[in-house]
Amino acid sequence: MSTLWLYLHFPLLPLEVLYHSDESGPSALLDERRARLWLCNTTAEAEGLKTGMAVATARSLCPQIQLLNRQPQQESQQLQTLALWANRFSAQISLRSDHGLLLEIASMLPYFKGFNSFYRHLRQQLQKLGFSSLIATGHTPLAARMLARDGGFIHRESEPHQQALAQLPVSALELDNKTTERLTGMGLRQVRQLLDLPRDELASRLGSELLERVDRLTGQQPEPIEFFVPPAHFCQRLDLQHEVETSQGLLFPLKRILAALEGYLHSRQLRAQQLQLQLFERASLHSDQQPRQLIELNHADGEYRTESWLELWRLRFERLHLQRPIIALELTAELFNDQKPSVNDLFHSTRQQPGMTPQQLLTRLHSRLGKQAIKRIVPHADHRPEKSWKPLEATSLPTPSTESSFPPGQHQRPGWLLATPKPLPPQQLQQQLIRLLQGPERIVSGWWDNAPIRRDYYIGRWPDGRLGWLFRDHQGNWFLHGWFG
Amino acid sequence: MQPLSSITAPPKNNDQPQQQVTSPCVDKDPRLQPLLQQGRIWQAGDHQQHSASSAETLSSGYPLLDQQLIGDGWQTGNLVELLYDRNGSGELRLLLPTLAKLSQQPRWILWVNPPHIPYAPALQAAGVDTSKILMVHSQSHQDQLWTLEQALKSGGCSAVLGWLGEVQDKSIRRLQVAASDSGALGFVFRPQQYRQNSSSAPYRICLHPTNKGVDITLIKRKNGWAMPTLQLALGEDQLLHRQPKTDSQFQASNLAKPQQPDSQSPHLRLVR
Repeated sequence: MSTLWLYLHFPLLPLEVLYHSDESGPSALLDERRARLWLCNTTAEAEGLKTGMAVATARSLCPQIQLLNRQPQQESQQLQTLALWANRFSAQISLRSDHGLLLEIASMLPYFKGFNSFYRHLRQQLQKLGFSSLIATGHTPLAARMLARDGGFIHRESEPHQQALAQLPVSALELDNKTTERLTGMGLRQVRQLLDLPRDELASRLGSELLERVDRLTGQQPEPIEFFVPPAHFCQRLDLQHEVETSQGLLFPLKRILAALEGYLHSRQLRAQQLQLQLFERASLHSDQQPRQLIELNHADGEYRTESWLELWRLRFERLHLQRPIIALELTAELFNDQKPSVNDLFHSTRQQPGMTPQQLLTRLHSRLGKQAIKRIVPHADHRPEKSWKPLEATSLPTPSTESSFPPGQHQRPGWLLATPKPLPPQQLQQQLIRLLQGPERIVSGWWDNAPIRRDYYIGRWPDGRLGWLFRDHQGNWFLHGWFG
Repeated sequence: MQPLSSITAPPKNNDQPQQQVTSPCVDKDPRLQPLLQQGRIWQAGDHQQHSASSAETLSSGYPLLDQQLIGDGWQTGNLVELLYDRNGSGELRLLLPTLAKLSQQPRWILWVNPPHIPYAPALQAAGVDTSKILMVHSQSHQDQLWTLEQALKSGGCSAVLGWLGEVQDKSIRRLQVAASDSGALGFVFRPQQYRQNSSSAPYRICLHPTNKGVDITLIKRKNGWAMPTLQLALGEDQLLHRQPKTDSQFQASNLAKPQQPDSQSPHLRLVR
C-alpha cells in the first residue's frame, strides 16, 4: 500500500488563537520590536495592509486595526488542542512548530470509505473549528508540507503530485539561505530542475545536506518523525486573551476545547458522561490565591459531539453569574462510557420525528434547571404516610420500579399528599362542616426511629365538595394530610 | 359533487375506475369510503369518527366522558386544559387511568410544579408505573414554560402535566404546537377564572366538585362543540361506599381499579 500524508497548515494560527468571537475585524500581530506588522488577517489585507509594514503606515491605512502581540505559549497550547481534534482522522499525527499538523492517512482511508469521503469529512470539521487552513496531500511528509505551505494541493494519485512539486520554487525546500542563493545563482529556480540533475553530482557539488533533502522529498530516504502521543487524561486549559465578563462569552473559547474533546473521545470510541469546567477568575488584590469556580455538567447517556455539549453548556451558562472576569478556563473529562449508537424507540416515538430520547431530555433539563430541581418519586415500604414515598435523584432512564413497597389497595390513599399536615380548626369538625365519610383507619408505627405516629385517618367531604384525607392525632387535634384530587 | 374530489384529492393510482357520482348520499360513494375510514372527512354528529389518522386515541378510562370526546378518548399530540378553583377538585382522579396507560411506554411523565406531592402509593394503586414519573420544580415562571415546551416537543415524554399560574394565550399556543410536534399529551391546570379567556388548547374542561361526585363540563373539545355538564363519580363510590363489615383485604384489591360509573369492566382500554 502506498503511503499518503496530509499536511494541515494553519497560517493565521498565531492571530486566530487570540480571537474571542467568530467574527473579527481587521487585526494584525506585531513583531518582537513592536515596530512592524508580522501577520495580518484577511480583513486587514483587504484594507491594503501587508506583512512587514510599519505600524504608523498600517494605522494610517486602516485606523480601526487591532494590533496584538504574539502569545507563543497559547499558540503551542492551541496546536496541541488541534492535534487532539485531528486524532479522529488519524492515529499518527506529528506536530510542527510552525503551526502545522502532519497526518498519516493512507491507513485511515478504508475506514472513511475512500479518499473523497475522508476529505469531505475533514473539510466539514475544519469549517466548524474556525481556523484558516491550507491542506495538501503528499506521498512523502516533506512533499505534503511543501505543497501545503505553497497554497494547498489535494489529490489521491501520485503522478499529479510529482507535477505540482516540480513547479515549486527551490526556496520551498527550506534550505539555508546560502544554499538557496547558490542554487538560484546557478539558474536552478524550480524543484524540477534540481530533480533532473544526476544525484552523485548534486552531492559532490552542493553538499550532502541538499541531497538528503531531495531524497526525503522523493521518498528515497525516510523522514524521521516524532509522533504526537495524546495525553492519558483529557484536561485542556485555555488562557483567554481578553477577560470575559459575561457567561455567554465563554462559549467561543469553550467550543475550541470541545472540538478537541470530540476528537479525543472519537479516537477512543468513548462518550463523556461528566465534564468539569474550571473558570479561573482574575485574582483579587488582597489574596495570592487565584479564585476559581468549578462547574460540573452531566450527560445521562454520555455524549461526544461538540454541538450537543455546547448546547448543554449554553443552557448551563444561563444559570451562571460571574462574580469576577474570567481569564482562563480548563476542561476536564472525568466519566466515560463506551460509544455505541443510541437506540431510539421504534414503536412509540416514531410518529413524526423521533426527537430526543428520554435520557437526552433529562440531560437538557438538568443543564438548565440543575440537579436538585428534578426528582423521581417512588413508593417506599413504610406504614407512615409521609414516609411511604421517597424522592430519588433522577439520573437514569425510566426503568421498571425495583423499590419495595406494600402491595397496593389495602386502603385508599389520596393522590395529593401535603408536604406537612395542615392543622384544622376543631369547630369545623364539631359543626360538621367537614363530613366524615370513611374511617377511621388507625396507623400506629415508627416507634423504632424516633418519629412515632398514632393517628386515625378519615376521608371527609369539605363544604365545597372536595374529598380530603384527614387525621386525628393522639392528642385529639385534627390535621389535613391530603386531597383525593 | 365534482368539487368533492378536489377537496379530498383521491390517490392518482387508484385501482377503482372513475365513476360518475349519481347518488346524492355521499356514504354510498365507494371513492369516499377510504377517506371516511381514514377520518379525513369529518361528519357532523358522527361521534365515532376519528379525526386524524396519525393521532392515537387514548381512552380517558371513563366511558361517559369518552362518549363526549370525539374518537372515544383523548387524541395524543394535544393540549388538555383543566380549569378548577382549588387543588383536589378531581383533577388527578380524572387523569389517573390515562396516566396508568401512558406509563407503560418507556418515556417520562413529567409533572411540572405540582401544588402538592403526587403521592406515590396512590399512583401505584391506580396502576401508574411511578418509575416513569419525573417531578420538576422550577424556580421561575420562565423556566416552567421552557420546561413544559421542551418536554412536550422532545418526544421523550408520553405526557406532560403543568400547573400554570398567570400565562398568556401565546404561551398556551406554543405548548400546543410543541405537543402536536411530538405527539405527547399535555395537561395544563389553571384556575377557573380563565374560563372566559380564549385558549388554543383543543380540549378545555371545567371541574367542579359536588356532594355526589365531580361535575365535568367540556367547554371546548376537538372537532366538536361544547357539551352539557356531565357528572362523574370518578371512583368515589368505591372510595366511600364500602361496607365497614366487609372491609377486608380480599375486597380491597378491587379498590385499586378506578370505578366506572356504568360498567364493571376493567379500567382501561385503547380505542382505535
